[in-house]
Amino acid sequence: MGFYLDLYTRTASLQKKEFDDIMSLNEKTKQHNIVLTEEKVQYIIDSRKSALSDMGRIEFGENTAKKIVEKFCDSPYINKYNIHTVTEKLLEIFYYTKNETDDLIKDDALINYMYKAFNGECKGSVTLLYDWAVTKLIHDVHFRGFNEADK
Amino acid sequence: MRCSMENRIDILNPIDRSRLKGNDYFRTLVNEGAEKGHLSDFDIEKIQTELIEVLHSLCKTVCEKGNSSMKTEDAEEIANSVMYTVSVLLKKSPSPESALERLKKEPVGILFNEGRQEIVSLLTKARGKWAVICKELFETENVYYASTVREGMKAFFQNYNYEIASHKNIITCDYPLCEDKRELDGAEFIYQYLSSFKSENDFLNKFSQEAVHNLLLCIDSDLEKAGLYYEKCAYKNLPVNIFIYVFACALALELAGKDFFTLCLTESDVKIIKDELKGKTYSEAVTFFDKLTESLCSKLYLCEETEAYLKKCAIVLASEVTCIREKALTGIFLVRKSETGITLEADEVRKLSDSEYRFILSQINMCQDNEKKLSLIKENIKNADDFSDIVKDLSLTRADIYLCLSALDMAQCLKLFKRYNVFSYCFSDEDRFMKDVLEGYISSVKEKSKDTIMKMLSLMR
Repeated sequence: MGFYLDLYTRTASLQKKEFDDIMSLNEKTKQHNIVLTEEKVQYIIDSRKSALSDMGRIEFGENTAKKIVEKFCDSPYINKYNIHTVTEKLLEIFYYTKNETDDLIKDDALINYMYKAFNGECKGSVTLLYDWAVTKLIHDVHFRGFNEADK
Repeated sequence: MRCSMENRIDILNPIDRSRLKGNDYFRTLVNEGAEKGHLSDFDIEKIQTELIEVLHSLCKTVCEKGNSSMKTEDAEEIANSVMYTVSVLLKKSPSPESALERLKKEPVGILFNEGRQEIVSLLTKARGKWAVICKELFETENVYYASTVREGMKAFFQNYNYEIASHKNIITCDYPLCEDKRELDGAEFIYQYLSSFKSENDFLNKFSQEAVHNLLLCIDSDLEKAGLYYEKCAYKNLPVNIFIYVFACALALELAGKDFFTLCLTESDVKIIKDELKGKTYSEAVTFFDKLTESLCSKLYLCEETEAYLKKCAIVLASEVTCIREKALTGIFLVRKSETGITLEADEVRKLSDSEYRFILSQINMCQDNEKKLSLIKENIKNADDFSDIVKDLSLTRADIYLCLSALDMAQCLKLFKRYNVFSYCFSDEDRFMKDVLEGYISSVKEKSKDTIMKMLSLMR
């Protein structure tokens, strides 16, 4: 076994914590008739890992997947059938936007922006969120500066 | 003898030190350790996990509050920095095997913190050396020599970040050293560079600025011989190591039993060294130069560190010489073409300092009368360099130049003829004008004097 430092390596304890964190959201999601099964939680964790790898990022702080599920679970466009697949797309858009805006937007501000756009103009379409809302945001960040009021 | 044999601890499957890279020590050490069975898969996993933990805690501090992720390329740079910092500490272990033991037993986080302290201490020592060098910097017109140390090092100390970019060199260190291995990075590289630079600087300071300058002017004739385009005093703008030429010259003169402080090497001196090296293998050449260096050092009163460095350079010289021996030795042993002493002793007439020159120029400019102007020039401008400057600054006419030339001595005139490459092609208009004037001057002198000038010029080339 040669030495290779895999930046995506997560210890067993970290993986368990990550899993438990998302599972603990059930209390909140149940209020919106969404149950996070073990399979769905594992799906979200795997999606997060692959989104990070695809976007060339590593995460070391708070769990973004947990934050997204927590924020979006009350969306009228999310239900118990699509919570994991929509979260997968949202994670991809989230890391993509972080890259494209050179980390100029803080995590919470970006999640708030995505939430507003997703439930508003995009009417629950992740395609519109990516094609229109996020593209506009990236443009604004580079040419106008991110407006705190957009949050 | 027997007792010592019994007490010796043999290491099973020792680490192959030649496979450890100075600038990638951590990775190569762990790989080598794994290959030779010093580290198990479990050990490697432990190292990886602990490294990631250190990396995560560093990334958290680096990232602005509110960001929980970062680009992989940035994280990789920080990971390289962590590994570099740990390896600075591990290199201090008595052997690579004991370094691996530490890596196995101690948490990477603790090794990282200790490594940081090592880097801080290296930086402190490097700063000390830098301050000494700046104070005693050898005066040379080579632009890379002073700028690498003054501006380059300043930029390094200002921008080096040992927390998250300890492995970065920041600067390129354009001035090449004689023993320039560049196998290290970050603070280690800078410390080693400055140590070597200090030794070279100490050695150069034993010689006069003029002697070194005159020696390095010989690079021009080497370039000319090679058919390359060059500016006059080529060494000023070339990233060449000054030390190696001075060192080689001093060694050759020491061998010839001459005063090495003159740095005036002749073809016959090179022949002596050539004869000595005839048929010698590389290792014999190393021994030969080592002895010669010892003899030189005994007369120069150098500090131990510099002496040790010179011995390392003697090995470099031996390898250079054995490579080029078949062709010529003049690539390193710069020979002054004129053994008549005309070219070199031309510098006996001192060049005016900038302030002196400006003062005289203002005096001349104030003169209304041309005759007075010319007499002022004749009186004050005795050096060829000053002469060519004044011709340009005052836009002197051909007739004026002829009159003023008579005030220069023969050596200075010859220096001027050589500078303007009389009887060859000149590129700029100013140079072409001056060349025309000088050629006209030579043709106007008596036939006998003209012959002498031509003979001397050919000797100088």
